[in-house]
Amino acid sequence: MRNTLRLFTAVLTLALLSAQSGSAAGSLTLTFSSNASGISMGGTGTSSASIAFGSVRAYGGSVPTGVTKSLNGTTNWTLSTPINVEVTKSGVTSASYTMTAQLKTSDATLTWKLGSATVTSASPATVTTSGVYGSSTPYTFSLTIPFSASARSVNNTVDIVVTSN
Amino acid sequence: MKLRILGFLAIFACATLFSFPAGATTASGTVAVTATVGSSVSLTFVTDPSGITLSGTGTSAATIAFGSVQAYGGVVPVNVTKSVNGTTNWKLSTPFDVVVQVANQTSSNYTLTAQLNTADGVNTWQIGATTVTSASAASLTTTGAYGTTVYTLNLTIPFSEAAGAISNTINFVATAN
Repeated sequence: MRNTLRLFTAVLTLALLSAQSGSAAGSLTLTFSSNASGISMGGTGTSSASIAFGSVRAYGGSVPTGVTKSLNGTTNWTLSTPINVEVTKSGVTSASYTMTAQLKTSDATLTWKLGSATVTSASPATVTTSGVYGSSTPYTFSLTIPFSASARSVNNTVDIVVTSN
Repeated sequence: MKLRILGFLAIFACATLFSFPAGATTASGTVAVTATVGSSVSLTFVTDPSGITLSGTGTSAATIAFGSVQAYGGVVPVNVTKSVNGTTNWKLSTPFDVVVQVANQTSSNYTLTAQLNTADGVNTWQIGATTVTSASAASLTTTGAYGTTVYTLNLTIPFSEAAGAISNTINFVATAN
């Protein structure tokens, strides 16, 4: 019986050690960077970027370089800009990745999009299920503001998670 | 028998732990977004179906060109009306559309004013029945409804005025109420 326990302990220890070494070796990194045609982001080259549109309005005014403003009749208007997302892998056997995005704080007035995915705080929205590793991929971030919304400050965070497929 | 069961359990544990890392490798990041959305009002001029063709229609800088006109005889552009008031003066009239829109502001109507850019002590400029001068902004409406409104430009020229070119600019200002 003592030998049996020793054997079990040895196998389990080996398994744990192997698993730990496997976890340490497999990892993904996610970084954001400014797109050549997009707004200049803060925190470029890191996983914590920021986009500051500044003071904007539907009629007149100006938008930062790399930001497009488009008016949809008298219904709403949209600010959009491309941003780069790069995911690299290390020690992971995976041909592609899935990327999701979720708003940190709920926003019932404005519409947030990353690529074609509408991003809310309710649940993570799938941006892509076939992301390519090691390449800086542009995604268009857009913010749509209804004409009926009152003037306001916008301050929110898009949480992005990438998972190896 | 116990040895076999424990062996199976150990293999199962090993297989489970080995398989864990491959299916759950993730990374995360954040993009913080800030903006300050301001209210704004849009004022544009559009050619009215019954009016003269505006240059710059659909923009906030339009032009009305009557061309060469005279009290007696001659021609006026399509959709321009010429009326002669005895031997005192004559008038050119044409409708044009003013489009006012509001964004990101609670406003049920607007105030519209007009003012001549340069003083004109000879001719009379009117938008509808309101005389427009350079002295101060004339109020065209204090309860304008957002959307399209037709206004008529009237330019009255005294018979006593010498022939010559007339050129001026009317500055419109729409303010959300």
